[in-house]
Amino acid sequence: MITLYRLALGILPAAVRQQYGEQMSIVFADLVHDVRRRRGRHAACRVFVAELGALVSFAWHERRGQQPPPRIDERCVVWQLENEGGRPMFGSFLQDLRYAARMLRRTPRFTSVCIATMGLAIGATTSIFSVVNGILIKPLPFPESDRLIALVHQAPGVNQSELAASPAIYFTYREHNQTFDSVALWYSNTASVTGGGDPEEVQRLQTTHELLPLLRVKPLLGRSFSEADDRPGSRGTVILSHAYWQRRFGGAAGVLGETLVVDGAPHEIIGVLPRGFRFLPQQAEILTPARPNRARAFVPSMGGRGVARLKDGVTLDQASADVARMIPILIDSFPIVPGLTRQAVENMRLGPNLRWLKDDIVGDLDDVLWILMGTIGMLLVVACANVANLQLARTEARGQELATRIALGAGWRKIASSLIVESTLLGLMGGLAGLALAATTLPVLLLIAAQELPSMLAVTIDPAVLAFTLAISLGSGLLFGLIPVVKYVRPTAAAMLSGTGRSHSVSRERHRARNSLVVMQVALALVLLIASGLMIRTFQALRDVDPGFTDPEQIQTLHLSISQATAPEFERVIRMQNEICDRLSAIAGVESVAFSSRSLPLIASGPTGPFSLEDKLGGAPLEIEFRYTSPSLFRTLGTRLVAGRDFQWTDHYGTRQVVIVSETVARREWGSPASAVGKRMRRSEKSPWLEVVGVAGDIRHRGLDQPAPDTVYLASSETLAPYMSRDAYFFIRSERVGTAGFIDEIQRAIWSVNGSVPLGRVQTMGELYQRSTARTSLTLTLLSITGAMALALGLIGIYGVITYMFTQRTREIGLRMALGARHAALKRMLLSQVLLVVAVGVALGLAGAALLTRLMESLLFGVGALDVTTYVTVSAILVITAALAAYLPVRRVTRIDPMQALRAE
Amino acid sequence: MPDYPRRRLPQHHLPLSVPVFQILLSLSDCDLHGYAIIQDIRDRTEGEVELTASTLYAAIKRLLDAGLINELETRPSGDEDDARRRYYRITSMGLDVARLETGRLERTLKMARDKKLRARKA
Repeated sequence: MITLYRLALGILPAAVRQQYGEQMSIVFADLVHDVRRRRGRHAACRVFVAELGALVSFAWHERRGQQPPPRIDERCVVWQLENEGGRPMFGSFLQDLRYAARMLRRTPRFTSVCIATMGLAIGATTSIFSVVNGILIKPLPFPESDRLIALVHQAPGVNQSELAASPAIYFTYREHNQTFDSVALWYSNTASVTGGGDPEEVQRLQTTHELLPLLRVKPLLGRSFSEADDRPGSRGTVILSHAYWQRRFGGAAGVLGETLVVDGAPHEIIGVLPRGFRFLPQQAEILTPARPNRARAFVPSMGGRGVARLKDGVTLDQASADVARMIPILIDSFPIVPGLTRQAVENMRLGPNLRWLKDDIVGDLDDVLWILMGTIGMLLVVACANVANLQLARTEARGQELATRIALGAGWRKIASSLIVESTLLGLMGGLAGLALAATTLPVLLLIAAQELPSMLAVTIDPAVLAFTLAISLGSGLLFGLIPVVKYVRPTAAAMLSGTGRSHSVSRERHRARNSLVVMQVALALVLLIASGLMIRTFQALRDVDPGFTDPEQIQTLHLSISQATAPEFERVIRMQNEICDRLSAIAGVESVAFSSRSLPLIASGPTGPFSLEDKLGGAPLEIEFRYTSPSLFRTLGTRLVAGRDFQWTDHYGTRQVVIVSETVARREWGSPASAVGKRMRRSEKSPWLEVVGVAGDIRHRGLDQPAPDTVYLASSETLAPYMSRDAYFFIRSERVGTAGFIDEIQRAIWSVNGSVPLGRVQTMGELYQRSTARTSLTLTLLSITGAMALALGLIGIYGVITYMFTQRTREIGLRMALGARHAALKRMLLSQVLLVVAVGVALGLAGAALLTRLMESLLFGVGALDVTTYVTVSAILVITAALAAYLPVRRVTRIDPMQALRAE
Repeated sequence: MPDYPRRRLPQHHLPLSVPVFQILLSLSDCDLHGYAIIQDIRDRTEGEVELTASTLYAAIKRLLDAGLINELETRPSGDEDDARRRYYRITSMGLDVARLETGRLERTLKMARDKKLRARKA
């Protein structure tokens, strides 16, 4: 932002910039830093936009107000200008507008090429800006959302910075805080809804009764949860989302008071949410009370998520200080998680890592979006350069017409203003075309990016986007209109247009202007192409990563949750899961079946816990990710079993506790996989020893671009039951994955074990794999499109300039040929002149890329921002295509008849 | 009467815009750098007037040009702040202009009061 502001300072007159530029940058940096700290990132974005407006006004006043000396009151200056120049200026503007429209109608080819070029670039810019506006600039869709914060914690003692909240935290903060209006705890999970049709798994938001009032959301029908609904053991209540109400109840008004069976228990429907309510990454279909139980709250469990509304005037720093004050109260008020000591909890050094809710939701998406916005901005500049080039040629071609107007008494100011009105009109028409393009492409873009964008924030073409489009249309119209004006319509240059100025120096000046535009186009196109080249290399590197499993498209995954009502005891849960595995294995074409707790590979990390090794009891315990798994998991995923053996069902029912560890852990702790087998580890002093029976290959659980975490796989068993959840992801390897009827067979097999178990999140590992590379492929797609468009525009620019240059030099070329110059030598000479221009562009582009691609380092994987291969390859491609674009006009020119060429003059 | 630069009398500068008057108020009792002026105005007006960097320097430039404020050659002693920051001090003419504007506002306020106009409580 600060860099952009420094660049924007360029619009000030040089003297003002020199005197105040640095001070303005310092103050702006302070301001942004301060606003971001006090009110969050999107408030800082708004300051940036306001700052740009003020800067434009400052520059305008400075440039207009130099003669006579400016008065202090800016409003007076504006008033004077409006009053003194008002009417005549407006009248002349209308005249210019009519004239411009007439001139543009007279040259339909020029007009349509300009509108198409600008429309393409403005359309692309508008689409990306809609996303930036919707995600980064607009506030969350709740009243006074700039007071909402996410209760995130850190524990530097165990290297954790993203710990969420828990019932103990909720109770403590609710009762002891001094800075919150209210606090709520929520969980995002799935629930099974049974009765009245097939059982279904729905997305659920479990929340304490404060959430809806805290977000200032009122239900469309009925009421919010009351404190009584939120008490443990109270009668079940449920609020429906608007979409679920429509889908399941057809929008019936009498739905209130009806009963919905959620997870086997009846829940009374007490409300329906308004249509636009969004709170989670996935749209919640039902809301149920979280009913946190004080008697079963422990420290430092972190299973839930917390949100709070700050009191008016409270800053994030003050809230953090308040949380830091409450953490000792928290540790004193609630029992420590069984197996941990108070000392261990204190050593975690639990502390606040609060952030604005908006920032929590947007995450690190802002990097990608600002980079895309920057690249699209460059494309817009390339397009402007192209149109400016066309304008230059046209202004020259109109020399006679303009000379006539000058002869009739029009001053150069008048001509300049009519030219600028013309190009502004072109810019506006381009903007209109661009808006139409954006309206068509935005839905497609959102579809491609659906995985990446938080669904809580709506991306639309709203008034802010319209204002932005208007501004860039006017701005680019002015930009490409000013270049011919500056070049030709000055008092001294006006004479050149009269047709008598065919001197060497004039023609050289014209070439210089157009050559500089080509240099700029080549340079910008190269920067964009290098950026897309780096993304291609990143994508390749990700594709080359061994995820730890094979043939993902042949693995079907699904989520099953066995409710308390279906199987009250944990042993029954394991037996049901075992039975489901057996039934699924019996389906024709299924090679193997397994399940694992908590989360899927590539999506998210599972829980971590401290494990002490028997042979290293003196040392610090290892913080390792753990998952409860069934036998055959590694066979199903295609993961290598490096040493030892796989689990067997007897491990799950027996009393002997066994584990399998990942290869990295085995090699680091015991030197080799083979020597890990037989070693023992445990969770805490009170928990049983777990014997390592096998070593499995590493799996990239956290995503392809993240290293494989240290993992220990536990056999789900009755002894470990208190730690386990009733949720499991099933994996089914079969060549039939994706074929018709396969899912139906799976469903029948599961329901043959129990008819009230719904299937959730049915997807293949292939889809997960795609999703893991979604952000890279999205950035790659958009950058490549931008790069290709910039290249195409650049080549058109080069072709146009060269054709024009040679037409101007026909006489000289004819002379050279008449004097005996060879075709080959002539071609070489002309081509080398073109390539010189391209080479300057490439050199500038390389320097620009070296500077700018550093900004995208966070998006790269397996390749540096200064990757030589990419830089060389892309430059070579650009030079070759530029040479080809130049060769066509060169060939045409050297084939002309010398006599004809000489006669042409 | 003091010899004012550019031969413009204090009353020629009236009325002052909100940013200009607020900057003069900030500098009326101490020398401040750019960002400190923004902070002082924000604190005094309880966030009602928040200047951007560009508005601030547009006003500072005009104030300097009109001789209502000066840029200090040396930094105030004991300041450990960023060495690149520049400090500004109000001139005697600046003080006169601020006083005249205060008088003008007082008269305006009195007229409103005479007409029984009262601000609504927020």
